[in-house]
Amino acid sequence: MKVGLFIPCFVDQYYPEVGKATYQLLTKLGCDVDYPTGQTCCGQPMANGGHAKDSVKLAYKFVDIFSEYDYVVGPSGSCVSHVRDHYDIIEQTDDVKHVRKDTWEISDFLVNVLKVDGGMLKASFPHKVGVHNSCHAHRHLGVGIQSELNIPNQESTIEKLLALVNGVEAVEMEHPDECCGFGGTFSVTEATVSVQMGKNRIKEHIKENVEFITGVDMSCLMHMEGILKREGHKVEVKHLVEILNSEL
Amino acid sequence: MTTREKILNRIKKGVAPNVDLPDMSIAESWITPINHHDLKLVLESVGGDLQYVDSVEELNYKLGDMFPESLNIYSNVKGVDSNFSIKNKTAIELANIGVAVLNGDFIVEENGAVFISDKNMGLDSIPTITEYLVMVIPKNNIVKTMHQAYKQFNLRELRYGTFISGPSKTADIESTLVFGAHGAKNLTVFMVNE
Amino acid sequence: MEPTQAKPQTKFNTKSETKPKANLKTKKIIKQQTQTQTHAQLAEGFLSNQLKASWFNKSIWYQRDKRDVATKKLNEWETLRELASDIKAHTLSKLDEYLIEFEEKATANGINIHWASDDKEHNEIATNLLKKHNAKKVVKSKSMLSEECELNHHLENNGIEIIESDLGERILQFSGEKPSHIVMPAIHKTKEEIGELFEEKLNTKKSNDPVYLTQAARLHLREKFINADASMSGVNFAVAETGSFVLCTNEGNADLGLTANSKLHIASMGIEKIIPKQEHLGVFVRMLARNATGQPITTYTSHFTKPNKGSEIHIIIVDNNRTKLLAEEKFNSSLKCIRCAACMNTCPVFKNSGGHSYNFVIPGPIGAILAPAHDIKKYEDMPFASTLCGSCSNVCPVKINIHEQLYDWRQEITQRKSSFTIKSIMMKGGAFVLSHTWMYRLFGKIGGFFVHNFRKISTMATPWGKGRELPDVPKESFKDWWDNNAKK
Repeated sequence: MKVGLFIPCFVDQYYPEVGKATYQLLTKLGCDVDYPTGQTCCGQPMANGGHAKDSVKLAYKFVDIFSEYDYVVGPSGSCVSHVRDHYDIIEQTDDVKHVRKDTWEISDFLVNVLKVDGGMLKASFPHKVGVHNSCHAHRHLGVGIQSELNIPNQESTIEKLLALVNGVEAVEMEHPDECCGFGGTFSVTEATVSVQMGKNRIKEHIKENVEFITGVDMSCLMHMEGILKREGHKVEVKHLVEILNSEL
Repeated sequence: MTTREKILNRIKKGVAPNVDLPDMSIAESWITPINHHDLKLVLESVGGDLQYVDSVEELNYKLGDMFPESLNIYSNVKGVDSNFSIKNKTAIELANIGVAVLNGDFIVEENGAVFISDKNMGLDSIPTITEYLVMVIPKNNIVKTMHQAYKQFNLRELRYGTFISGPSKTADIESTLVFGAHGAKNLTVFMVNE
Repeated sequence: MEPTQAKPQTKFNTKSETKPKANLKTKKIIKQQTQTQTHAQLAEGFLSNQLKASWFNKSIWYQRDKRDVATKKLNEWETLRELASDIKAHTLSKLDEYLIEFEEKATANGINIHWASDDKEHNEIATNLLKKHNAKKVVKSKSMLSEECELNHHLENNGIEIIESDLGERILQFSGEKPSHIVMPAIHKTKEEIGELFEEKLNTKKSNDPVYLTQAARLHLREKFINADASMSGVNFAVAETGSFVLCTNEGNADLGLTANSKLHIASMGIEKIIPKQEHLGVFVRMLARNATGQPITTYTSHFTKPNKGSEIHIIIVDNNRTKLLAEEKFNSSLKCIRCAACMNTCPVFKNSGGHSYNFVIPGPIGAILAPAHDIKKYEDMPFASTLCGSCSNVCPVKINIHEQLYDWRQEITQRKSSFTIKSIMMKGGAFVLSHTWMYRLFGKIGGFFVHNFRKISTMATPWGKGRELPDVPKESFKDWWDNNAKK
């Protein structure tokens, strides 16, 4: 199974550890992983800012780079959902259709494509962890239990995967799927509201005495990390793949 | 061109996609046997009270216990005494009604709402202008859901009719629930065994 | 309408209880609302009173929580959403036919139908009717359409006293404010503020007891109801097959307005309020209150088919940009909205910025997709007042894809406007850089260098630095690591 590693631009620049963990995890699970170095950005920041037209070139570039792989896997729900939902702005060739269909958010991929179990992971992370359900993965990609819906038996990929990790104590928040306020360009155009929303989120995690906040979108975690640091809290953020990649 | 024609023409330029009206028969599958205990719970949850009586005599007895004779009591329920006539009364005078005892058409289990049509109101304003409202319903006049409720009457044959679920209420001041905003401050439903 | 089932927890947090009451008074920032301030600016004002902002957030969460409990009691909830969506979508595709049917049936029932192209025409029709009947005192139950048309202002200019009869609306009429929420218009006001307002307007004693204040309003408004010459309302649903209209309230003010003394009733309805059949009411009536306030039904759900003897009923059917929206392929499904306000109650941005930070008469997510259809330039900031979290679409009883429309409106707004704004140049520049891998690498290095060496300036100089630290800059990027360690 040939997997193209999709490392979002800010993860490449600021959170290389998340990229490494994604690569190591997938390799450990038997995937033939490649990182096509020509990749830059999927175009989401422009598109969410109302400039989807300007991001057309990026969409073509993305498809061009990734169409040769069986699957494209990335540690970011929002970037993946952008490829899946918003690459309708370019001509729907077979390559485009393939890339849109086969681009996966990592937790979704591990649970629903690789169908991992504890034996395959052999991960250990003896810490108290608060789960952040980021909106794009949670609602747009539907990997979590959506609190607004009256649909029984919804499942959460994050919960399933954390259950496979030895020693981890996963905690659900009072408002388990409330937005952290990052929202891409929203974080700067509406900085005050964005920060307030982030503060509300970390307050719940701190109340539960967690050591780490985890999730599948590094952008949300970066936003919350920025507030945690500014306010001098000891709680750290860790992408889910880093926890899953923690060895015994 | 009249405004009417202009608006209708503009609507014709609309591009809403064609969607068929859904089949409403699925609502029948949501009907389960009537549960009077659930009805009581839901009516209480909306601030109302539910009581059962075997006869009009028992109803009169209970009403006597609930309301002092000094109140103006209007009733159009057979066998329940009125001490207040609504004939030729101004709005100001009608606002002096303390208790209205009215026949309700039927009650809905899922929300405790009593449907009352204009012919049972005495005057249209009485269900809302009275301080206290009592509605009397034969015990078998109950449906489970609003889907059934809307099959109990035909809007065409009605002038005015309303579902009333509990007493009038508001939470406009700091989300605090307060009964008796404009309409009845208190609502009791009596279901009469036939 | 606006209620609940149990006593809510709207007490201020412990911090607030020890502080003097004066702290709770917002510095009238909300009232400074002008069209020139954007959502971001108005929201900043709202958040400057942290105590009140936190109180507001909790009171909106309280509504959302009640909604969750009520909707989860119905196993068929998601099916009801499908039905409601399909009924409304079907109606929109044949809106002209259903409006004509409604007009025919209502006219046969003795109701007078009027048509208004815009707010101005609506207000003129209403004023002329009231003048013709020599009505000087008019009681009106809450109608967002009348707010949209700024009817009160128009009537007052014509010497007609218009009295809002919904408690929340009456409070705002006293304070000279606009609603901040479409179901709970005065949700932004504390009981202390309302107590002071009533002291001034109704000569009540000093009190912040909601029971006492509500009783005072009851007595005050009873007098208005029984002396009203005419009454007005909106329309929740209009049934084409019978020519009837339905009003939903908790207070009973619409019913009392129509029946206490009024001999003339005027109901204003947007063209989208129509539904085809009586049986469809079952779907909407089951959903509206549950989704709005968590009640199983509004206290009063009232149906009007014919006027009473000696009375007249007039309905003004209003377009006011709705047909413009109907012609927008991507956006016309927003006309399915039944105004339950659940999207506001769930929206994290609404919860943290308040209803007055949106310039349009309808705030929150649904307001943000309706507003640009009215004036794309004036309301260009509204679709950006969202993180696109999608919770609004999940709670919508008629399944409007609100968050997708917010995204699509953003595209429309930037495309329809001049491409020489700073933001658009930056976006184009960004896209240009990112479409060239070498430039992206170079800029990444330069950015990292800046953040690393000039952290203080980088933090202070950007909106990001408002309350947040920038991430640490690692020694090597993932690409660098790949090249050195993993590359095949």
